[in-house]
Amino acid sequence: MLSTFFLFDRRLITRFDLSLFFIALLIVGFGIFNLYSASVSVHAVGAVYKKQVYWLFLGIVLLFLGSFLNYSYLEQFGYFLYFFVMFLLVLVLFQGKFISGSRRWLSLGLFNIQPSEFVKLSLIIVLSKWFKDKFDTRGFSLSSLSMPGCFLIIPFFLIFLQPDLGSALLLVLIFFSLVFFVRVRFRTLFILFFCAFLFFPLSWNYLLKDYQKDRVVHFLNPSLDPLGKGYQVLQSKIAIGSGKFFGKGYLKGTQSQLNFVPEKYTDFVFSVFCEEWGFAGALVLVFFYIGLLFRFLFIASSAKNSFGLLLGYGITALFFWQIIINIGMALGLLPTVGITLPLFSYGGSSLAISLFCVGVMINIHIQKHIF
Amino acid sequence: MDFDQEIIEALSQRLGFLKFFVFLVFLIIFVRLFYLQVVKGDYFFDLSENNRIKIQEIPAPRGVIYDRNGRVLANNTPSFDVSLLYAGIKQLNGILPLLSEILNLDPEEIIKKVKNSLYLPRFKPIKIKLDVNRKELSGIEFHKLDLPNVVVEFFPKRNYPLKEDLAHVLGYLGEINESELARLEYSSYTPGDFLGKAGIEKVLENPLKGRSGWLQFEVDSLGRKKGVLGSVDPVPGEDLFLTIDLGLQGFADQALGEKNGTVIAMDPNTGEILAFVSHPSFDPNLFSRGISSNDWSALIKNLFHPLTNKGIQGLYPPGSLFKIVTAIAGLEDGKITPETKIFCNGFFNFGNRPYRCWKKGGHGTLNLFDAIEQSCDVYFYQVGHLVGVDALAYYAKLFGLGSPTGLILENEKGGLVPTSKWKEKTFHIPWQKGETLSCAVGQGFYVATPLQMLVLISTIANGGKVYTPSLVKKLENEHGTILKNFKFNDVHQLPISPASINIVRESLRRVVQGENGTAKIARVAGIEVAGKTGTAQVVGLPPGEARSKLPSYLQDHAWFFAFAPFNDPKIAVVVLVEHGGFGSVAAAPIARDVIKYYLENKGS
Repeated sequence: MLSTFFLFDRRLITRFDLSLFFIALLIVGFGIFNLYSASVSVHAVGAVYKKQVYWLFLGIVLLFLGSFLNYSYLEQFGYFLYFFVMFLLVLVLFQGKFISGSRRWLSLGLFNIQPSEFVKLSLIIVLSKWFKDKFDTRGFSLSSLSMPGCFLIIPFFLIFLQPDLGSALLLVLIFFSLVFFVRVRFRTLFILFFCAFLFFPLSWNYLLKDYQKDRVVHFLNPSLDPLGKGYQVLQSKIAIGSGKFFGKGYLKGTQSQLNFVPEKYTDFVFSVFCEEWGFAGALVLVFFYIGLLFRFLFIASSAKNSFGLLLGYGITALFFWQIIINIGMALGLLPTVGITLPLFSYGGSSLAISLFCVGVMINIHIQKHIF
Repeated sequence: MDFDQEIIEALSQRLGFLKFFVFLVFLIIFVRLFYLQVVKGDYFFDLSENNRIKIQEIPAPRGVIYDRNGRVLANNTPSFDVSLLYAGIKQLNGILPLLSEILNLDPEEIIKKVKNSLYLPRFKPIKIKLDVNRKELSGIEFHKLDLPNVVVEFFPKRNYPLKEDLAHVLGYLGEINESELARLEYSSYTPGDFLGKAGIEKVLENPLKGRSGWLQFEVDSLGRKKGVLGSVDPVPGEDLFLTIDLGLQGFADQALGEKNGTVIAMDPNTGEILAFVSHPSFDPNLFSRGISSNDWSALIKNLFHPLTNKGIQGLYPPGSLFKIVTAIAGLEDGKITPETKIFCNGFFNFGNRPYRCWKKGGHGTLNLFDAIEQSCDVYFYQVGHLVGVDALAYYAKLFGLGSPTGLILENEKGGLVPTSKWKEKTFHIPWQKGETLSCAVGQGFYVATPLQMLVLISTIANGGKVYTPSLVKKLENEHGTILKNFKFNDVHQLPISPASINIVRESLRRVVQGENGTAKIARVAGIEVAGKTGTAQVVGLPPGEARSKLPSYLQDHAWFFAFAPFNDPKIAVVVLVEHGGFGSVAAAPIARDVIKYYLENKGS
């Protein structure tokens, strides 16, 4: 009984994907090293990086859990997990801790958790299950997408109310990544684009708050008011650029040490790293991420069943979008939205869930060899 | 082929395209990184620290230190430094004569300062002269146009209104040195920063220091401000409330007067230090913007060590104060009862030599109460002999002797509690029984700090609770919100019977209040005081030679410790006067006055 629940076959342990494991841990290691530098000039020296270390221990436990807990259970209990997370999202709206203008955290006494981090994975699970069960080789029609659409809309609005625009946007990206992957009919595609075309002006007028609009405007022209809204992007670009080829050296980044880099533990953590380690350091870090994503894609493509394939692909998309958006906004390529750099930014729930996802990928890899 | 395999086939076709897509997106990121960091790297580097953007530090005011009632012990006053911007180094030779004339500095010295500062971060101006006076300041302002890149910087200078009083507790500031800069806990400091170097200023550096703010502004090629790019407000340091009572502190300082030594007062019910005097002292204001080498060498060469905190760093034989421990040891081990009678004829023969009592003719027959009241040495030689050195050491350690009390200040000494094992290990010779006799009256190997003795008398006063002495009450932010309350530190009840403690307490009352007490001089009208005198020998003397003939630096140290009121102790005091002679003469009146002042003005 236990052996079907957990994969305890010794051959399978030898199939454990060490390369993926080490790439993930190296990125986390870089991240903690970097968080130490970002937090050293601040009053409570190092509290941030220490917390991250504690979460790392929990994350590693979750990684092994994800690796050895047969992922077909995720399929089996997918809806249950999804509704449980929706419950947490509702709870956070009423009971959540109010920090700097939004309710995102549930206090568990000893620590806080951020349910929106769990939504991402549970959405991937239910969508993968649904698309697999209802797979249509001719491509999905618009009407058949109404159910997956509901899976998206519920958490989207719950998160939007917190408000956490970054996480809400990420859910949309995950949804469309999966929809395009399983293929939709041409007519459906056309209608979806048309809707999106309508959605943007409408959301601009009715949905987005002023500060969110400001961000888009100032992304388009950051020098408009350097002390105001475009300040974050400008300071981030100065930090990254001033690192030049070899960086200013560990703990020596003036932009970040003097707190000019905004949100330097989370959204702009990449800027801190680039200032101190330069182009050379940034290349190394980005190559690690590329290695991680290609390994993810390889594992997904060789999954033993279609659920594994869709799940693996969904997790890859989740990581991909977070990495691209976070780095893109630090580089001034994309507007500022609150999306963290997975495995690297400060954030306990994010780190724990990201490491669990890595575990699930390792699991998909291991399972390939069971028939 | 089942349906699932069909799905996999259908989906897998798209993965190749995805890899290409991922590759393409990352290519854009690489190009952008290359553009920002390599192509435009110099531009952004300049923006971040060179000519186009200047960064100016806005120093954070250091937290104010208050006494327990909110009266200022240390605060900040404005001062001005003259500095040279990094960009001005090239033109230094041109302005050197004028600068040296205005600031009254040797040109060589200015050049040396600039050279020493070359390793500074470029955004930090090079300090030429700290804390300039009004005349120098107006000179610089008057010649502003002739002195490009010379700037006047405001600095909140640390000020200690009490001057020499309480200096050992408060400590002083100093410029960060190279070995401190290399340490990780100081990694947020840069050369030229000031930080706590001693006392409370050092141990609570972190909450006190606050966080500097920064102003980042763009300048044109002539160095004129064009616009502010960014600013980070300074965060003032946290305000600190000590347990010290300023009124009592000033009074105790006056009471000790010109004498060298220490006076410490504590609330025996909480362990809170109310006053802490150590003489000779120094003026911490001398350090606030860097101490001159003349002032420094004067402090270092002073034979009486003004920088030493005698309360926690001075080690003295406890003398007769230690008889309390000997009495407790005898009672607890059942070797004596309060009614045990011993005859004193002025000396006690042991081995081949007589051990003398301080009273030449002897005290006659005494019980324990009488022996403490009159401080009879012979009585305690015999109790010590009965108890033995190791049992004495056990009880001495219970009261905290032999290890630091745990006060928040640094470099507290622990003193020495000798045992037979310790002597074997240290000197490789066995313990001599005769040495136990000296130990029983607090001479011999025993040494302790005045603070340890204060903890001892407080423990007797409050019925056997050992408190870790505390100096800090709370930390507040600038809005008066309490950030941290320092609760009464560790306290533990000694495994000693209340009966024994009460016997000793009663004896100590008789020392002051009794007919034959050695410290009748310490009586305060209307209040019952309990205490004990002591004399710490600096040199041993052969029989028959008068101590009064010795030069003053070889005179004995005078001890006195006391608590009051007897039935409900509110204050415990220890006084040590270096080379003061008899405790009853030199030390007891000081303790008496301090107790009287405190009980009359309590809460003021």
